[in-house]
Amino acid sequence: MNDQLQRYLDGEISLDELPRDLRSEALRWDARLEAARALDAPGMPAGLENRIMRKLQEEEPSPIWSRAWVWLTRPREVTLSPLAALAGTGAILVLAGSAWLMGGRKAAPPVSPAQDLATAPSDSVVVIVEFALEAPDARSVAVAGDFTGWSPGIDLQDPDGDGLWAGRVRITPGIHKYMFVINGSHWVTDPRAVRHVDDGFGNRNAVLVVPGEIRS
Amino acid sequence: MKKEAESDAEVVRRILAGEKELFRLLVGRYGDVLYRHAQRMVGGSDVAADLVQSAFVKGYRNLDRCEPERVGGWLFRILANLARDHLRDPRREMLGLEEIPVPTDIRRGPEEALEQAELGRALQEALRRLTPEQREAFVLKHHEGYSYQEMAEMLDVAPAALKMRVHRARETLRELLEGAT
Repeated sequence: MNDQLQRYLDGEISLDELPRDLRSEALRWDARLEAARALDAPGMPAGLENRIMRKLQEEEPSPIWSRAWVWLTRPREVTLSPLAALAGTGAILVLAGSAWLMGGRKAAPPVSPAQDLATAPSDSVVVIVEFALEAPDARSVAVAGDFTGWSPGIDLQDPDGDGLWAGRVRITPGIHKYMFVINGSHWVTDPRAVRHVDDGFGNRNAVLVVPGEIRS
Repeated sequence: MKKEAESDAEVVRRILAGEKELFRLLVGRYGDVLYRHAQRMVGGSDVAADLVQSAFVKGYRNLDRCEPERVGGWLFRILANLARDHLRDPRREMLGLEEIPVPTDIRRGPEEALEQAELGRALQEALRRLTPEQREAFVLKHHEGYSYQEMAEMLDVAPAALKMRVHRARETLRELLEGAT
């Protein structure tokens, strides 16, 4: 790499001091670095401070009841004869069978469409996309698109009340169409979308191209 | 009347005198800086959190060995060593890249934000191919904005050597990034 470009990136000379033929490369570096810095985490995730403090408490000598609890709950290797293991397994099966007969089977809890989307199959590739809309007078803003079955199921949030509603959605790679739904009924297109397409009903859907490997 | 925040040196002295809960103040003061550095170095947020926890635990155990007024830099050095060791460990898991986080500038349209994220992600991916020392120097210089002199004090390495690491890192990144396009 050119020495002058290295000096520019080290902050020793300005862009104007670079030869013209190096300036586009310098600006490309600036763009890359800005984009990479924008991906930085804002800080520690919630809960890490408490996790660290709990870990430090474990460093302290604990009272006897606490040590007894640790002794009882810590996994350890136990040696059993085959006969004792068989008897133990049988007892567990009898207890489990009784509980099943007495309690009956319980249905799995229902999953809302938003939850379903947020916990997309773990083996599928997903991209986190941030949607945002400025709507200072709105009481609610939701996203509806082909990825929600066109149901306005993903609510955006405006926690500080500045009129900028935003939310993150996990979406599989591909070409998607979407719109915002204000106050549950007013459908608007995304003014910041790069592409739009007519929806056949006189409105324009925003088009979002999500890069990544598309799995069938 | 606003109470003056206690200096690091005073906090360290009180912890060593038995007020151990005050260590939370140090976690609060330096946790974000340590976490961001860990994440830039190792990529994954879970691994970064584990490294930060290990750094604070190690710092707590050895607090009597630090210069109290420089506890922040000392904790950073512990974390930086752990991050480098992690990258050198051949058993470490390769990180998945299934999820692309978006930049925090949410005033862009989603597609523009994704393009920006792709640009940043390409650089992050290329960073993973650098040696731990080059990556560390590049991250400190370009992500964290330290001067070579400040980096030298933090890492106890000569400024000229750090400058050379950053220059070599840029050479390698340029080859990787321009080879990829």
